Amino acid sequence: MTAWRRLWRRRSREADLDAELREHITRLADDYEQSGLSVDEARRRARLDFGPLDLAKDECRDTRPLRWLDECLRSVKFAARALRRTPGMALTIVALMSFGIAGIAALFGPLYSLVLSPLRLPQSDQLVRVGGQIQQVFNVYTNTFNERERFQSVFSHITVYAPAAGGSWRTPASSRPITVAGLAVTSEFFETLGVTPRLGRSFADEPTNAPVVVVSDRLWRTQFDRSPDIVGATFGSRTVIGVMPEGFDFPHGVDAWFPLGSTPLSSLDMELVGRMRPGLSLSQAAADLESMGLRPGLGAGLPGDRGPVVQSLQTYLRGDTAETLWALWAVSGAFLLLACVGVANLLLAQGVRRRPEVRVHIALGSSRWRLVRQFLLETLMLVVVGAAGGLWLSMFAGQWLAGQFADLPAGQPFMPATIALVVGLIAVVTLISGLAPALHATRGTLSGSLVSPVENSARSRRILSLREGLAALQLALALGLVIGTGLLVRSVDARMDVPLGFSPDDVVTFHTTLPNSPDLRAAVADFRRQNGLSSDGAAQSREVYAAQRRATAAQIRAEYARNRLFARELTERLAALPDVTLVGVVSDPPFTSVAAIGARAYYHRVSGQSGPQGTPVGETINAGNAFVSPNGLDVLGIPVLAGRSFSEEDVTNAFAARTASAATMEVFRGPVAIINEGLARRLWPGADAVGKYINGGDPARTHLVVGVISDYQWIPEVRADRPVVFFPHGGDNNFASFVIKLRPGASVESFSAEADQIVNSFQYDMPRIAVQQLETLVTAGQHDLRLALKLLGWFAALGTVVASLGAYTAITLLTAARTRELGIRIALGASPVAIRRLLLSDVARLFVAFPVGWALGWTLAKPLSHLLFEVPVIDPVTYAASSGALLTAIAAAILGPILRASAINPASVLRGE
Amino acid sequence: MAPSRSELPQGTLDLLILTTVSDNPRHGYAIAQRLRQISSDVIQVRQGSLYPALHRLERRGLLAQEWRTSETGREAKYYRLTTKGRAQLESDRSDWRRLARAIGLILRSAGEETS
Repeated sequence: MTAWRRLWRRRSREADLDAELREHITRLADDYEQSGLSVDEARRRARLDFGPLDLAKDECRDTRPLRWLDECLRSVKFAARALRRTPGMALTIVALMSFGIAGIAALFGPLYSLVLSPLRLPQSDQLVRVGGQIQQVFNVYTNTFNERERFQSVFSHITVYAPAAGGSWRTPASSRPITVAGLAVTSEFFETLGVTPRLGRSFADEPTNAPVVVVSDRLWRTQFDRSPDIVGATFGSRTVIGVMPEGFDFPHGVDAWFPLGSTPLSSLDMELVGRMRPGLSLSQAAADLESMGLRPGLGAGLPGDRGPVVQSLQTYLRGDTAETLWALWAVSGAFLLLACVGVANLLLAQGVRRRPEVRVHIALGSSRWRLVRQFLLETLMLVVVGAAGGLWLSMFAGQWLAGQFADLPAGQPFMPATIALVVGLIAVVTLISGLAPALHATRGTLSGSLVSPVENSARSRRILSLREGLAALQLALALGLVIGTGLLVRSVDARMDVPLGFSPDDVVTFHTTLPNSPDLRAAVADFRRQNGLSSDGAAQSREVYAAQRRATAAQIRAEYARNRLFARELTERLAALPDVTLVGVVSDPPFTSVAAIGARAYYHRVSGQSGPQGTPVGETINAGNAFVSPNGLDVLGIPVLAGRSFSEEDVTNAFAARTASAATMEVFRGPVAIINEGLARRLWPGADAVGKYINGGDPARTHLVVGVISDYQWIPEVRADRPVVFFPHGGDNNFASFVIKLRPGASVESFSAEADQIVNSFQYDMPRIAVQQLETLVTAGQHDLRLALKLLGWFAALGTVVASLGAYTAITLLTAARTRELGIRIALGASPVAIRRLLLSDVARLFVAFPVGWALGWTLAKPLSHLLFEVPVIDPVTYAASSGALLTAIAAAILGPILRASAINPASVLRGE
Repeated sequence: MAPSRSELPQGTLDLLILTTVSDNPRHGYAIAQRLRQISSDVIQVRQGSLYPALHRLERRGLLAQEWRTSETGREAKYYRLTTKGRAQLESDRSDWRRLARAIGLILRSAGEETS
């Protein structure tokens, strides 16, 4: 039944009842009339006999079910009527509530799906990420755990995985090979995560180096057209043995999983994840693992060497974003609280205005509880409307947020958790903002005169102090909030101000790698056959790997030469393009994903050295390790501050060193190096670094520093003065990204097509190249910062506005409440000066809010101090600016009443006008 | 002189109403009149308090209601006994008789002892 029909039926039922009872009275009256009474007397007697009509009606209504609903409806109607009398205030409250709730609801969706909702893996609370020096417990060469049995006391399943270098793969759906995000895993990977393939099987029964692959549902859909024949088909050089179910996306973005033992040992970004035995706590697991000799990481960039020993997988995967979202959520929560206090203040003023009405109700026998209920109902109605508006706003805000955070899972605005949150918020907000004003408005008894408008001074004093308290609280909250957000804004701003140190304008970059030559592949296969190893896959130990390199050294040398030739030729042909001004080769172009991985994984522990054949001196520093061709620094616009850039001769020497070391597992980087200012400052403070020697931990790794370059930001949000060592890049190794300076205004699309054509013309069957603009990468890299700045900026601006408005209304209401008292004082002869002094002293009392606000801001910012970048928690600028804004608002609010104070007409005030 | 009026024992009003409408449908006023009539004015309910009882019985499904034109030419709400109401009336009636007989016996025996 629709609500309207129910309402209509209710109405007709009321009419029925009325008609039935009236008919009875009419009949009674008729009978009396017939017995000889006058019409009036008959009617009187009938009514008397019948008793009170309303009582009878009420008693009849009482027999109906859902009686309370009727009463509620009546209360709602009454409340609506009361609200309609003060539309301005109602609208203000609804708006305050809408904005307060919108922020919190919009952020809740992402927060919930990103942080609060569990990983979409069975019993994900049992999954932990093991950090620290895992190479001590897991042998990367034999692909086994050193103490399997001891691990089994902690974990029911355990797995090691590492992102695998994106290879080129042929699929039925594409003409050229595609690059697939791969993950090398140990055999229990899927068992650990508790997910089974939707088609085929997992790796559980496969040899650790089997050339097999399990693909994602996504890949199966887009590249194999959901063919059920995929199991057993060949993909790359592997046989597909399974397809994962839809929605399985771990780690995010991976499309192919294959045995760890079947890939070369190129990946250093290993992760260890285990499924704890049921009932085991994180701390127990940590203690057990530490007793097995697992130590926290050194931060040296060794396999898995990051983070605490044991951490829930959820925390590990979602840590960073979670922190930002929580911070934002806390800020929006504080805003909601501020809105609540503002609303409470408004309602309190309203309550004072409605005091006569309340007295009438009390006089007519309403209980205080009933009145409080009625007041709360009015607040509730406003809050509900506000919440609806807030949800509506949050849909837009949510869309905007989803557009801003690329990988943000869009929370549905009407998911049950959000609804539950909003319902909870409505209840809490109604109580916070409505209860105190409701209790206040209904305080008092019949003794408070119905007629005299002059309030009992003791009580008005009490109200005043409550309102002063609220106003002060509002000021303090606002100040704290503005300080907190202000600090964050300044911090983000400081981070944005970190100079890039390079010039991304008109620079594009792409990464390409030659596939291994048939010669090298044949030599490796030969070696493996002779040693009884499987044809494709990892060496079984460091010794075997070393033997393999020795046996294939000739082919490796040839490979270096071939790579170098390819790079040189590609460079020349790119440089010949009309739009290109300069071409270079770098291992890690700034802000690229290559750089992000490189920054984590490849370190060089360097120290100063006394001379060409000297010994290491001074502290050992972890420095980033990168390669650059002679033109590379010029293309990137990184200035050489002292000494020189690399020459062709340096490249040739480095190439010779590399080639000479082909048979060994050490890769030599040549005799010269360039370091950045940050490293130079730390190794030789105040001295010239050029001409000095650095040591890479081995006498054969002695490098002469030929140049010092200026600091530059290698990856986003990292200090530019992070130590880096550059070695000459001849394009001979796999870490070759081409950086190209285009003519200003050149089309990136046409360059992209031309470059791809050139790459493809080498006939190596290589995947399509992906050309990226450095400017775009920088923008994307700083995107989160920009977004944070924008969001926080908005919060701070909004906070300042809300706070100032709050301060303004609070003071206005405060002085308005004293008008009558001031009138009396003027009538008794107080001078305007005295009145002004009185008003000022009122406001002066509010200044207690400032220290409280400062303390609040400090409390808010303290836990965020690690997010603050080059801004102290007690930042005078922020504190002064936010206090100034509020002072202005207070001054503006008090100015009017002070100017008007002398114009108060005591007579009209006392008449209650 | 008017006969003395009795308070109605608890729960008996329902039984009386059901009895009153057992022969044919009546409207509220008629029920009140009939109650007074057959009890020779001994039992008098406050006219207004009849209706809550009628509504309660209707809600319990013992009475059904319909609006029809009464002998005055005006619309009136008529109540009639439903099948469920008739069954209830029978059981209430026999309960009441048993109770009345038992109370009578007690009163009579007490009277004999004291005499």
